[in-house]
Amino acid sequence: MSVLRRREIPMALYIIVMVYLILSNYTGLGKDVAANIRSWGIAIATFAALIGVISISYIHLLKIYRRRAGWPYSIVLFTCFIVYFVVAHVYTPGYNWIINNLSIPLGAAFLSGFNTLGVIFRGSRVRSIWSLLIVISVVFTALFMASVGPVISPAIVSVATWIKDYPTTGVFRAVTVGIGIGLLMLVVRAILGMEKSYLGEM
Amino acid sequence: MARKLKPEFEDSIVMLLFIVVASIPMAVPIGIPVQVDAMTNKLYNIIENLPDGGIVLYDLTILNWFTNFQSDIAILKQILRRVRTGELYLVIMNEDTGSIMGIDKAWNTLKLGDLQYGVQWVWLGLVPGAENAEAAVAANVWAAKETDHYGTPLSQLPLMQRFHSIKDLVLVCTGMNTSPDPPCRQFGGKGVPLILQNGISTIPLMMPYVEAGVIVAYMTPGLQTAGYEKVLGELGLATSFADAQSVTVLYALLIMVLSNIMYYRRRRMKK
Amino acid sequence: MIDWEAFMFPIITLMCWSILYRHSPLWDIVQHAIVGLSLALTLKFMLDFIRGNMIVPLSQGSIYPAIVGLTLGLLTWLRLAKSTRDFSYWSFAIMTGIGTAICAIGTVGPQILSQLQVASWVSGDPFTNLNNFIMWLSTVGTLCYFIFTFKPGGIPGAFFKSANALAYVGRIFMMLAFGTTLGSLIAEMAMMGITGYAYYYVRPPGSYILAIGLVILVYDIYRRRETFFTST
Repeated sequence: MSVLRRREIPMALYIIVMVYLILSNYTGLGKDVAANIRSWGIAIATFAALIGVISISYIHLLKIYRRRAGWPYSIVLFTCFIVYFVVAHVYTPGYNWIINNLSIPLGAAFLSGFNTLGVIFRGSRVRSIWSLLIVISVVFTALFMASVGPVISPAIVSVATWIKDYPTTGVFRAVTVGIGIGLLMLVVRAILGMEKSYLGEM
Repeated sequence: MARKLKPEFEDSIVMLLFIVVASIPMAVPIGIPVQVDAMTNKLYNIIENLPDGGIVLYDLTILNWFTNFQSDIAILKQILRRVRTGELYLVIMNEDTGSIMGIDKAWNTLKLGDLQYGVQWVWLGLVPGAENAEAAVAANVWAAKETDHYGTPLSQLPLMQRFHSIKDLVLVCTGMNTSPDPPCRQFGGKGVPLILQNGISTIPLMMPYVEAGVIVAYMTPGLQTAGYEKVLGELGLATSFADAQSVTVLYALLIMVLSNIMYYRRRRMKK
Repeated sequence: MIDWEAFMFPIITLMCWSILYRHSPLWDIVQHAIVGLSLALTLKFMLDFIRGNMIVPLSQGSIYPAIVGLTLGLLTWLRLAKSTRDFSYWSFAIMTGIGTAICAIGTVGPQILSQLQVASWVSGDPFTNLNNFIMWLSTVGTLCYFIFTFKPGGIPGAFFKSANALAYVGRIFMMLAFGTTLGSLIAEMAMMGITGYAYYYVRPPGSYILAIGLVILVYDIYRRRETFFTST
């Protein structure tokens, strides 16, 4: 049994699956098996998502049982969880009501971008020529992306478009290439057995 | 003893004023004209010129109802116009649960009930796994998913008999609000045009792919979607928010100027 | 017929935005409510997926690959117990291997080779040539910035000095690029739901709910007015 616990088994599985999929893509051999392997990945992702559900439920159940700080809110969590889950299966109008009037407003309100306002208020101070360049670019871009920009001056559109199409594209091209090369290095590290993050090891 | 407002309450005042400023144009519309940019026209023309009989895959990954989803709705409206005349066919897939709720909420707006399900359009539903799901669908959708959103086996859907992999598609659209790298890796460079609906802040990230031809066109919420609604002739929420977006952008820039003035004033007072 | 949307949107928004003023039970309630709703949705759709794509094919005799997917998926749940955690790594290793492979396959074309194509500097009008050169310069300068911003001595030092010059130029373009990113983030923030909620506040019943919220806010500010200031 201890043999099955060895780290070499998952490492071997990782490398075999990865190399097989890459070779299958470039040689065209074994495409059916490759398609099945990809569907296994979807299946594993599904069950992994359910681990999150189980973990959060366990944490909050423990909180209620031990009466830790904020335990009444855990009851709110479970109430919403159970009501929504039951209603989704047995009462479609109720399910639609919860989507339209609870889930969507909650999700959208949480995504409100107030953090950016804090960044602008505290972080956009011009202390050097570099930050001045950033602020100039910010002003032109923000005005260009609102309907008021072209109304103030057509030059805003021209300058902002030029900054977006040329310097910005060039910079992010370099970033994209860097990310791509990093991904290929990840494959090399994996084949050499140096990549172990999926085992919980850094 | 002098008193100074705590920093966290300074932030609160800025944010609360922001909400007030955003509300004013909603109550009193200003009517700033919405301009249609070249990318919007390009996207419109790409969809209009798709070959007849083609299948379009729409991959939804996020729900932010007032912003990104309005862009998705606008693009879907244009695609569905051609679906209703029998020129195109539509397959929708979701990568997260939120976007499924969005389709449910947009059902009447998009008039999905008027379409012949299984023949004119199919809703694949949730395909979990993010980029893995995209890769699986692009390579072999029948291996990725056995049934549609309603539990019907794909073998019982006439439209799905023609869609096995990305090579059977004439267009792939992805609606999201994150890095464009995953859909560009999985759907891009495979001979099928790729349109991205993505957040405004991801425009710099998308530009290299646009320049390289991996993304043929993109749509962002806000002004671009307002312009797109103008081109479609069906004004929606994005158009009603255009004035408010302009005013809030001006407010944000004013805050930037004020913060610099306050910073240099406090620095001078310390000296 | 009650328009629940016109009631619920402003109420929920006010509860979420109460955090902008101060931490309150309203914020905790919505925080836990959204987690509960998300959990329920995740559970519902994932169970539907498992039933439709694994259980039903198994029951209809299509054993492979459903049985393998089901087995690997169930293996992940062994992570929940310390004594069986090691076996869950098999599934995670397979999933990570699949993810690495599909990323690596997809990255070569769109993310590397397509990005290395340069538009001509000599054909076309001078303005276009200059713009294409600027795009090339910003790409090379950025790559130099990330790779060559250190100062070795000796013979490589002379080579790296020119690379550092390119890195300096790259830094200028990077500032413009980051400014574009922040500017587009500002435009996105302006849209991100705030304008959406303003839509409900300017018409009844949202305006009445907002008025009640403002009265409560003003009363609380008056009650706590001394706590907003620090002595200097």
